[in-house]
Amino acid sequence: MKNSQLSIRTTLLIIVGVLNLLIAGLVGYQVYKSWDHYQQAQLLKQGSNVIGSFYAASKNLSLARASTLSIMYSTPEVAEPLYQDLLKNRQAVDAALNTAFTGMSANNSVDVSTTSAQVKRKYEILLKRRKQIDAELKAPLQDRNPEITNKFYEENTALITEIQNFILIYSKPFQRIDSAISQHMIFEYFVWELAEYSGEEYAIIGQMLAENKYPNQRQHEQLLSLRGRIEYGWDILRKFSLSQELAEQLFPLMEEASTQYFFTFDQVSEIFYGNQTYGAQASYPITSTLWLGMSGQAVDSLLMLQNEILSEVKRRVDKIEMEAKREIIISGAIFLCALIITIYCWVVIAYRVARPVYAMVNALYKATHENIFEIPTMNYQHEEIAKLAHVLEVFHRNAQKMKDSNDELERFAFIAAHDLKSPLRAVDNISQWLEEDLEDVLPESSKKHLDEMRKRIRLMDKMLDDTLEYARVGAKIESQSNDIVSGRILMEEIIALIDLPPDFKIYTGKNLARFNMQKLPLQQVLFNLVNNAVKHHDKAQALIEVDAVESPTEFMFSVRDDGPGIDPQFHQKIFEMFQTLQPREKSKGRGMGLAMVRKIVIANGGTIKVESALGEGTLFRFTWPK
Amino acid sequence: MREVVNILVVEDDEIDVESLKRLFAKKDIKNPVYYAANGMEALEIMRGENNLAKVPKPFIVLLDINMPKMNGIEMLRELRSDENLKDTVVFVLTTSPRDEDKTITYKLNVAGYFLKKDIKELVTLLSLYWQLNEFPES
Repeated sequence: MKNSQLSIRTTLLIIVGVLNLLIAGLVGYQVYKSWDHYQQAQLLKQGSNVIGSFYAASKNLSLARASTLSIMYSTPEVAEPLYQDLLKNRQAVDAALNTAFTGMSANNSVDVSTTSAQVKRKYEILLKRRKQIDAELKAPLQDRNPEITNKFYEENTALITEIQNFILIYSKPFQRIDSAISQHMIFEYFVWELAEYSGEEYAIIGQMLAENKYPNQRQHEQLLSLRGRIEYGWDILRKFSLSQELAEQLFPLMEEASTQYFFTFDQVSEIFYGNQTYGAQASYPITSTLWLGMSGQAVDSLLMLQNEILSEVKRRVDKIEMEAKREIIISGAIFLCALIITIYCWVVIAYRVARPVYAMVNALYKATHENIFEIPTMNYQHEEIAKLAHVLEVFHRNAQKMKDSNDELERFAFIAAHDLKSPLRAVDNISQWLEEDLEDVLPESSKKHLDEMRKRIRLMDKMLDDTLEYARVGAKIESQSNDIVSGRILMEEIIALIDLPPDFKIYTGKNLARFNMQKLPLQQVLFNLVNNAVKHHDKAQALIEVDAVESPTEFMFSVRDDGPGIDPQFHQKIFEMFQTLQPREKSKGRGMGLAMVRKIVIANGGTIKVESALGEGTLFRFTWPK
Repeated sequence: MREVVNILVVEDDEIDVESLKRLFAKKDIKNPVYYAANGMEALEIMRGENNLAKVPKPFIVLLDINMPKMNGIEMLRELRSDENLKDTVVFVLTTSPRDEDKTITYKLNVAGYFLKKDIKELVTLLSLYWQLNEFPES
């Protein structure tokens, strides 16, 4: 009793627990994912900052390169203001690279680490070269070593290329995080590449202008190659598939940059790309200072485009970060709610369902076994289970009333049957006395009537006896002795009591013979059923089989005969008191046996059924709790 | 020579009294028979109270249980607590088949418990019983 109750509660708690775990798991996974998104957004933010710094560095490197080249070939008057710009550019380069390197997280892939080491190395080389350039600038114009300028140009360009390479490698994991950002980064990269080639071109032209020389063959080839790459680069940029929104945003900037570039280029295209003698002295319509200003503007307009994209990337990253934050908050809130609901469920099940149910079951157990019903004390008097307890109390009271009134009814039947017998006996006596006293004068017919009268009186007397016995079934059960006998002995005693015609056989099943059972009132039930089968049999030969099967809680008996059978329409009626299927005068019984059987079986907590049809014999089955 | 045994029938039902009378007549029983309608009357007769002639001992009582005023069981208790009467032989003659009644009357030392449906046989039995039974001399 206790164990099974505990297991129901445990089962409930386990089910709720598993559900809760599932919910917690799902929500927890969501939180984890949001956290992951947030982390990625953080990485992206950091990454885009680093990339931005590197771009800034390379932009300034590009400007410094152009300035340096012009300065190296300019007179001091021209060089001085340019040199101030150069210093600013150099500072910007140093600051941007510093920011970029410190902004990079410590744990990078091998590729990133190697490439960044390369960038650092090339930057250090450039720093040394800077000093050499500064030293060289102190020398008069004609004494300057063009080799140093060339070296500087190569090393500066190599550093920019390395940075470019670095950005490519470094941005790869970020591109995987978000496809839009990936697009932006690639676009940005192309813009930057374009700016770099333009920067190289401007630097070379700047040098030419400063020297007042036509380019030599190498420079000319370099310029042609750069032109090709720049025009190709613009082609790519124009055809690049951007989102509608971004395209609209960037289009004016692209137009501006493109116009600026080609306008600047138009100023000098004829001179540099036309027919000329390599390295010859030239006279240009613009000064190198003006050129640097113009080309600087053209590069700037490209860089503005790039900046716009960079800030778009930043906005995008911020948005992702925001979303991730919001996700974390929402998921966290859901997680908290789920947790609270879980705890609430557990508390409700444990304290408001399981405990009262347990208390109720105990109360009911007590009610059925000890006939005492006490409403269990519960904390939640207004809840269904507490109400149920009150309802059950009413049920119990009603059941008690019912039992009382049943007891009352039985007492009434007993007293009525008993008290009816006295006047009946008086009538019997008086009729007898009448016959005795009037023997000589009474006609034969009257004597016969008196005789008939007494027959009825005896029948009524028997019926009153039956009623008495029937009324006493309930009371009897409680006072039965509890002898335990085997089914075999039980049946032997029954068979001994029955007046059996010669060709009638009563067969006791093997199972039944083996079982041990309480003798009374079971024997009375089996006796009545077997006796009925014998009494109502209509053939010279008969076989009556009695058997039983066992379950953990009860026996199931069967009494089968091959007699006349019972029409299904009477299957209810046969169990009623004083019901016989034959007229009373012809009937072999008083219609009491099956009523008694049924009452005893039911009083013992069993059920009885009949299976029969006319001409097919009869099978009675009844259960008998152990 | 055996003493004449007096018979006291304590019975409220006139038909039963009549029935006994007839049976006694049939069995040719000549013993003096006294009749009382309830326990009180029976005790009065036995004790000779209320100007009633005291019935001499020995006598046997045929006692019904359900009677007005004083029922059979109450009378038995009274009888058994009376020094003079506690050795009285009592046969219960009743319609009650209840075990309780049997138990309680036997505890009050009745000589037998008979149901009224067997009254004929009881009279046959008694007719021999009081012929053959030996009583102490009072």
